[in-house]
Amino acid sequence: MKHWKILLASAAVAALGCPAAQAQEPQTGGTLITAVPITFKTMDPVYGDSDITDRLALNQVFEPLFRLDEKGDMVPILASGYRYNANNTELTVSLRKGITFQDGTPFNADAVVFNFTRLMGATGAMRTGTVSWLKSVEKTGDYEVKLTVKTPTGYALSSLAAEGTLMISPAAFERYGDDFGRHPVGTGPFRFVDWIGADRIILERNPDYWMKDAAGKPLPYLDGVEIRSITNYATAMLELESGGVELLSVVNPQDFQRVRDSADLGLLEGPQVLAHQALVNVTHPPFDKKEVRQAFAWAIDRETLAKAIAGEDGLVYPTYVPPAEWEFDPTIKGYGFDPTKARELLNQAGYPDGVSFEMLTIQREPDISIAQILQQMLKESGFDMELTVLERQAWIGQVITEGRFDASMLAGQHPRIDPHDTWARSYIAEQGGNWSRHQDQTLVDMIYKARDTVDREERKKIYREVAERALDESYILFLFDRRAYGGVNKRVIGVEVDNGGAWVLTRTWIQP
Amino acid sequence: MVFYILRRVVSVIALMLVMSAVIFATTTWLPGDPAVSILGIESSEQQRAEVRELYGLDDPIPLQYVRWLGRALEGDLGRSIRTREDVGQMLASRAPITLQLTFFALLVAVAIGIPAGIFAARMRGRLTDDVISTLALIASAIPFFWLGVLLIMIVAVRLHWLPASGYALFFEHPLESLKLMILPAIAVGGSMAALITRQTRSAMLQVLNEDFVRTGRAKGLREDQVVLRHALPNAMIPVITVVGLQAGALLGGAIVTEKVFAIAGIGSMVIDGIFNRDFPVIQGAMLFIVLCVALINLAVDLLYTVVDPRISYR
Repeated sequence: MKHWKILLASAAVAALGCPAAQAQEPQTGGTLITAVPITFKTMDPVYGDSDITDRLALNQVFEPLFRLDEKGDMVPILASGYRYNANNTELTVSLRKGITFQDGTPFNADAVVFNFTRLMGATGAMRTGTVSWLKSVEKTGDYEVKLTVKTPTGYALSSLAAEGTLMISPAAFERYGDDFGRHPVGTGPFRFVDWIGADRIILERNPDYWMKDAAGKPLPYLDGVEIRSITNYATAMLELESGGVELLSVVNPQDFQRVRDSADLGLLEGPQVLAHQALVNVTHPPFDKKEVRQAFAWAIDRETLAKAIAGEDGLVYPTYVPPAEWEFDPTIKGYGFDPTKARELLNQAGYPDGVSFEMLTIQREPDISIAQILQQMLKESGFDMELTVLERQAWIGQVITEGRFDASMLAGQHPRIDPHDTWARSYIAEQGGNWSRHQDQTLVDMIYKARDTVDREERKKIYREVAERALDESYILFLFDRRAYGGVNKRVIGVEVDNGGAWVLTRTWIQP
Repeated sequence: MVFYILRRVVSVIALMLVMSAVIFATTTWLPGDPAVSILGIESSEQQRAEVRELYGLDDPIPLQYVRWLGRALEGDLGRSIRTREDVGQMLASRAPITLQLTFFALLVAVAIGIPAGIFAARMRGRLTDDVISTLALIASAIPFFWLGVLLIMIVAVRLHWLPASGYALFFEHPLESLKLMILPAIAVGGSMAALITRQTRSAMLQVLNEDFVRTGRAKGLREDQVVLRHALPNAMIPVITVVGLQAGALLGGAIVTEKVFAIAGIGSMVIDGIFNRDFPVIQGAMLFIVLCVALINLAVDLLYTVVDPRISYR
């Protein structure tokens, strides 16, 4: 059996945000007003539709067995440890004792079994894929469960930190049934009070929260949290500047400097990035030919693009995988900028006079700006790009549902819970990806092989091969990543984020 | 009068039936996939197919409409495809918010527009008239959503006089509600005030030239008595008409304004429903708006009889 080192949660989860006052004594009290740019679908962890973003709210009410820190290491939260059996077919998780749900019912092995069973059998839920590896779950003690896998997989452990495996109260689910999403009950530092229309979610301190700070003081420090849905970005920024909101989940690149220059505000940093890509449809010309796709890849000056859009916060990596994901390998050779090579490849592909195609983009920034820059950039290499901006649902219909496009802009948040989510969501149809509609079974098999390998170093080697094949085939062109910042009032201290950049407000406090 | 009202109620019901079919048909023509709204974009085609079957999204459109209509006639407007909230409850919680915003915007528009129009008519040809008319022109040209952002920037961010966004119900938190409603009410009501100003000025100018006004002045009545007691009631019919017509437009304006000021009313509900292709939500919200506009028109017609006793309905 293997034992992994158990890290203290208080030391392992990233503590970022307002470093200047961290030496001060935390003050108890106050309600933190936060804002997010979406309207949450539900507070049921199984039925959400937006990974990472959902955790902005879910992390405050629910807790997972493990949470990923900024380095991608697993930090035990509701679990106290885990071990595999000799052939990695059984994962036994031991649970912390003395924890109760916010409704007073105990957190124990029965609750964990309930949660996994529910997730496995959920219908109409994207997150059932989180436990696609799970064969069965059983209780082996009051505070121990055994998860039996279908086939040994390194993904199993990572998935214990995913949204779908956040622990809900079985008693509350029995009471509320399908309405549980509007009456969430977990073990987290805040308990649910009210959800006012699509306007705000109101949480208050969980007086029986199990975690204490390093000095033994009860957590959380805050009396409560309000999570407002402000979908208009301009309004959200104005609220942050006026003090009506103290923590904002997203600041767009054009406002980074304005926030940095502000006396009252700061940028909330974390490991998260937004990865910008261009997707091509390989079912018809011109991108059915690999040479054309590679030509497209060589035709992009990524450094200039990253700088133009995000300044010093634009980052160019070989693929969209950022350093915060453990499989990141800086030695992988990505594409440079070489219009001559691009033209040669087009010539080889039978397009000596260049290629015309249509690029779709959702009506949002900076996707439109990126596409406009690309449009000019690609001319040098013989690409004549027509840009079409679509409303989001129209884009979904045309790109995802119907596959009626040549190329499209894409953006995605990273890091993900596991590299499998990163690659499968891009390249495997059964896992919600492959919008390029390739038939590359070799690539698919490689991604599954990496998932089904337990040793992390071995997985890393396979993911290197996956990255190299993905670059070679270029079904998706990796453009650049950019740091994704939130905005925070400088009076707010101790905002922690998980590996995806979602807040964990357990140790957050407000300076008087 | 009673029969008139009953006839109008019947016509409103018929209107809503027709509109429900029109709205249903037009929303189904919109591109997009409700199954993706339910699951998220990173769902597999198999998951989306299961959801379409679960919620009957693959059924023929007429069948979906008849199913929805059957439940609606029993008072069940269905559940949001995305959030599974009861649409009726959504309307019940959001309608007071939008109606409150519309009321305050109307109040702003009438409180500014009518006095300004009267004053401009009295000061016809003078600098005051020119200033009022120019301001009205500017106010009617400014897009209200732009005005909304401008108001937030100046009043909330720079001056810290009022909150930037949000809402509170007046009957629950009156002072807080007033503070939160001032900026959106001005943003929405501003351009309507301009229209009312111009209509009032125009109607007053016509009435002030009538013989009975000259007679009143000749008999020695004070000018304010002539204008307010005699001229204004006669000028109000076209003004009421404009107010009634614009009340419907105000509801439409509330849709965008609610997004700017982060107000979770019917307007936001419509926008979110459209963006998510959430048909039950779109249906419920649009039918509510249709009902409101129809009732406002009925109220305007009835108000004519109060302002001008010569008007009666059978």
